[in-house]
Amino acid sequence: MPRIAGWALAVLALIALGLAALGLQGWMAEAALGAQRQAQDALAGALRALRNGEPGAVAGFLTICFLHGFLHALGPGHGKGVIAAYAVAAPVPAARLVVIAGLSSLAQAVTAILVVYAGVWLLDGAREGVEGLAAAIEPLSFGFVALLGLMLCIRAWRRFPREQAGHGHHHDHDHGPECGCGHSHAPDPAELASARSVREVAALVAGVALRPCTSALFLLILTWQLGLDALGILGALVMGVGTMAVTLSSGLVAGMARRGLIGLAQDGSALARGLVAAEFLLGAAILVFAGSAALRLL
Amino acid sequence: MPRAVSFLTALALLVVLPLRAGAHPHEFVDTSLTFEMDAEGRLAAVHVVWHWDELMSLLTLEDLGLDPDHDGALSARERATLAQRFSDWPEDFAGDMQLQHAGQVVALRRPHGMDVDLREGRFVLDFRRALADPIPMAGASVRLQAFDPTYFVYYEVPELPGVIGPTACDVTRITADLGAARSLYERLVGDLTEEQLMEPGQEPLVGSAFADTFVLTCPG
Repeated sequence: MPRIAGWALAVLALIALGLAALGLQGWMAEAALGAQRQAQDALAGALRALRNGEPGAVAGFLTICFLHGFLHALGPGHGKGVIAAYAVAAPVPAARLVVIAGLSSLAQAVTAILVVYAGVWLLDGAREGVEGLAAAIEPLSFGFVALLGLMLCIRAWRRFPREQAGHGHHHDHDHGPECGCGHSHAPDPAELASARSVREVAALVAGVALRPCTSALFLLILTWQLGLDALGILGALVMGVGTMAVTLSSGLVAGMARRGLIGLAQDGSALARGLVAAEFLLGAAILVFAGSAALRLL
Repeated sequence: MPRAVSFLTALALLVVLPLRAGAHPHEFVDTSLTFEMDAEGRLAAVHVVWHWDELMSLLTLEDLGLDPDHDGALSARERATLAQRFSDWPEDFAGDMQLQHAGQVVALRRPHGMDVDLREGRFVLDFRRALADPIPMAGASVRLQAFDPTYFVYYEVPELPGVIGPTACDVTRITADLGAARSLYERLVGDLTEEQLMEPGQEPLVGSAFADTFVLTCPG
């Protein structure tokens, strides 16, 4: 990373920590509230314009959906934490994080669409009923996240270097203190960085996707009632793109943290082992928290 | 740039991204409040005007099938029907307002004289809450807050409440500490048992922590 950018980030981080100490929470809560109010007002204006068939209403509406998704994702939820935790724990290249963030945010939008239209079909559009349906899905979502935590633990456990024979890589020669074969028995950092698992990605995406955003639900119900179904669906997807912008950045930041760790690991096997242990602990933490959340909601 | 520092930096930046789920309001009501005193210098009623936000208003218009011609205006009959409907509060609804005197919550009667209108896409509800027992205000003070206990609706009071009455009284605003309110909310959610979290209506009643307090003081 270029020197100046690195130091700039370090200063920003110090400011962030300082603000956190001084009550960042209060300031952010207030700012978030104000922003949400403005976003909702803008959305209402756009919907009214759509309803009245004003020119430029569609473009204005979609812009607002994007901004709404973006701003809302800055608040609590929307899978930021899960994706960031995953990016810290698992060796995931940046390109893959883009795919994950994109898939999960769009899947989240699709879930909202399915929930609302299932509700419309089953419950004749009663708003409380649809929200109840969305709430019923929540335990499943936490279940998937817990599963992800479990998979991270299992993978870290498998990777932990064993001193005995049978640790999974082959040699043409015997090992002994005078071996001098020039390689370490710790997990290879490059191998750590290139490991992938389709199942992990699936669990992660499902964990995020099964918690549809309340804003998207409101939007879809509103547009359905106004007879603007197609625009509502499009709007929900665009909202998902806005959400993706935030979840992606949080994943990339976390991924940077991990790459920082991997750089360190090249200097010593103890650090590489520590990295694997950290991966296990983080997986365990995700498993415990998400698992208990899922059980509480069942 | 040492890699360790870049790692620590990135980790610290994660602190800025709020990771915890929590309550936040979905509806916004701009509120104006006026203390009304009677001729004997007693606080007799609070005059309340609620301006619902545009989204709430749009939802309500659609839910109730109002304003079919989309001209943004309600007919006289619609307004009369709404005034009656919106005055008919359920038993457990305290009107999202709390008046306190000498540490006790003051009983307020149900709303009367309600007028409902639609202005610039927003519902405006104008009504009065009479005190069950008017309070002599000479040398006394009362505290007023507008809030939804569940913090689903956020009542914002942009202007200092006015006073109508014979005496020259004083109103001050004590701003809510939002950071402390958030911490309180998170602590209360943490205290709930697993069974309680599953029940509907178990949200911690923290609305008052997020609301400003208005203190009315009258000279003795």
